[in-house]
Amino acid sequence: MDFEPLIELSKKKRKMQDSTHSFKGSNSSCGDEVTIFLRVKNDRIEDASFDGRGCIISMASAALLTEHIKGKTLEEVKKLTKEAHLELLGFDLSRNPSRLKCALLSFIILKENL
Amino acid sequence: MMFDVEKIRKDFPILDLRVNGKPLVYLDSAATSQKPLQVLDAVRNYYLTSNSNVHRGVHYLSEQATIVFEKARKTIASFINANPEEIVFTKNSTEALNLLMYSYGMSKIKEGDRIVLSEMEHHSNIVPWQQLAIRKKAELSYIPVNKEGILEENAFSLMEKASITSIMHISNALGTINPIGKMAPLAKENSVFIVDASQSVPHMPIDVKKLGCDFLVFTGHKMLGPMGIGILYGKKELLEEMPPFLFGGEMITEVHKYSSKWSTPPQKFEAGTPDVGAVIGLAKAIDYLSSIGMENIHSHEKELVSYALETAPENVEIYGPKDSSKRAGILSFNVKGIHSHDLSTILDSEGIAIRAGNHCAQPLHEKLGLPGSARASFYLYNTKEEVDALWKGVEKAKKLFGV
Ligand SMILES: Cc1ncc(COP(=O)(O)O)c(C=O)c1O
Repeated sequence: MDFEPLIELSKKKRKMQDSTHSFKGSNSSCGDEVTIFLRVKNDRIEDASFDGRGCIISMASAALLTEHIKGKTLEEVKKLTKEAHLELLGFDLSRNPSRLKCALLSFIILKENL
Repeated sequence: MMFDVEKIRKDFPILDLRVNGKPLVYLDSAATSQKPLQVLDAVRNYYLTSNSNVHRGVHYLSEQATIVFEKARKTIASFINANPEEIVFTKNSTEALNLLMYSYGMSKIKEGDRIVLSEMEHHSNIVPWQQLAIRKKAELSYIPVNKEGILEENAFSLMEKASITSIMHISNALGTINPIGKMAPLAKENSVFIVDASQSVPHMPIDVKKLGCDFLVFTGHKMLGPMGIGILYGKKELLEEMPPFLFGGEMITEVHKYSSKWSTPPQKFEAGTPDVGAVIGLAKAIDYLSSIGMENIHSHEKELVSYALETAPENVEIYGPKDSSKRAGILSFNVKGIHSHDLSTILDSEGIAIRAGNHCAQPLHEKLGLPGSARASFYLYNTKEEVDALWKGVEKAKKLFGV
């Protein structure tokens, strides 16, 4: 697994002051925590960001997910599949099934709350 | 006998694996140990020459299987200075603790009784007792652990009012060796003192009489044996009093349409066909460990831990007792700025296997204020070169993360 790009992504944490929604969740087994912030206007996500603590994979995948949904409508985001989310990450977790829950944390938080 | 690691390693061909192009460095024996050829051969040989159901037939093979099965029970008993009828076969430590909860706990504990655990217990020595406390409206108390990962001795007095005390001998998360010998006499009369010896029986000499416990549990797969075999030791008079845990074949002497009679222990607690192959494998593992010597194994691991402590790189925060006489061959740590799962993944790319997370001890990690930790654990087949490899891998991770 190539860590370097992930390390950069994981540093993009940003609390949003004027968010309309913020969703928080955690992986109790490893203690990772992610909050997703959205600013939604007319059913469109104007801005999205994340904050939290945890491993590189949960942080980087939250960074990629929030970047991806920016500008999309809530309807479009609801249609986002697990597979599409994992594809955003662009790395192969097939040999690290134990890390899948890290990669899915932000996706699950978003899905459960939308 | 001389302790010769290189010779020992030859018995464990899996240690020659290459992982991600690097020689495997296996530092996760606290999760499960590797198995020597002698154990694998013993299991295979059992299936080749003696396989049959035990205690059932009168034909040659069935008698043969019963003989080797009961001989294995003797080997296991004498390893911890118990009698064979005090050794109950279970699936693992977890099942042994559940047996105690369902059989002893459910029949003896009443509303308001106290159950004492410690804050460093493995989930398998917490959750069953939590359930018992809920079901019986009993009170659950914990002996606190201090910052150094040592139990607070002034809280041992909690045991004076306990009906059940269940404490781990060696912490799987910190390596702390708890003063079991000091605690056992504090258990009041008509109460029981249970020891979770999952991390001690594999690594040091254990004598249940000297420890002074009423029950002791351990698990075969952490001591060179196969998975699927665990041991419950119980004092004979206690096992005799206790009701059965599982019902069915093997645990009965008479079955009528509306009533049955139970066998005597240990069969009373061994309903159904056991994993005979795993029992044979465990007995062989014990022969193997005994031939090397538990004292020798214990000193070898202590040496490795001391070496690891001395050579740890900067920014590595190590948990657990500083005093090496209170610590077994387990080393938990964090590297500042690197999540333990990420560290483990990076080390894995170097062929190094460690454990990361909360090590099935979430209350302990909460108490210590840690989301998780990395854990290297040592066994008889590990070397100082492997410790060097661990720290070299850690240095590499630090560089990658810029910490
Ligand atoms: C201290 C301790 N207790 C209990 C267990 C449970 O062992 P098993 O999973 O074999 O039941 C373990 C290991 O996982 C352990 O380290």
